[in-house]
Amino acid sequence: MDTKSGHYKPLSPHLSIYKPQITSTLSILHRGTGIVLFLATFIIIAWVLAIAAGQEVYTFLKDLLLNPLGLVILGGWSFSFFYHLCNGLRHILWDFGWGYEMHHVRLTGWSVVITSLILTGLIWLYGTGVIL
Amino acid sequence: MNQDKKHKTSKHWIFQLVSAFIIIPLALWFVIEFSKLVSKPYEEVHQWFLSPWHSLGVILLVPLLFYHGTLGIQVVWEDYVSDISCRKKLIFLTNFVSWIGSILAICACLFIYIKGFAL
Repeated sequence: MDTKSGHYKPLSPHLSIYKPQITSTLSILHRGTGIVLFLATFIIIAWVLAIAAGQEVYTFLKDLLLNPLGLVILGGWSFSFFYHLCNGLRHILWDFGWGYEMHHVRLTGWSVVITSLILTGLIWLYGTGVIL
Repeated sequence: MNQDKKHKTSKHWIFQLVSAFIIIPLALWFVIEFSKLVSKPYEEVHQWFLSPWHSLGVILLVPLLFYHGTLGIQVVWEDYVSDISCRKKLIFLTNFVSWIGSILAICACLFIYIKGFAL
């Protein structure tokens, strides 16, 4: 350390320095999916506005959403929703003081990943009429 | 940390938590309905909106999503934007956009409902 000038200060560790771990990765993903969901709320608004505007506008939006790119967006949106929901429940458990043990953190973390993937798959099977 | 700031922070947390609790059932309902409706023709989706429970659901859901969302995005701005005046502007912008979005959704739902029965 440069004690003479006192200019040296330790830099705070940046995300790129850490090795990805289940804890940090899921935390970042919670934020990321939250941002996606905030933006995706505008799809709901566009959809409601399109219905209000009438058949032509609605059909245009529907074709847009069912385009390959639109389907990718819907896929990302549905995964974001189920991930944020499941990890949000994990946050609620933490808020009530449960699940801070490292083995609980890992167990609930992986459960969130697996459950949200399964739920995303199920909603697509349901939406496309494959099941129910 | 002064007392005022402490209350503000814990309120932020409580409101985020309470809004999450209300959103869980509403959003689940909407996602299940939307997954079917998105590929349906105009008449069917229009008919769906004419049920008061459906439009009421959307009218409640959109503002709640925006409320929960702005609380979350606010923290993101606070974490990554160090310039205080710029940060405040971004938080204001987020809130402004959310208000506009909520009002648009509510008006559109009411418009569909009223027009559907007047004509």
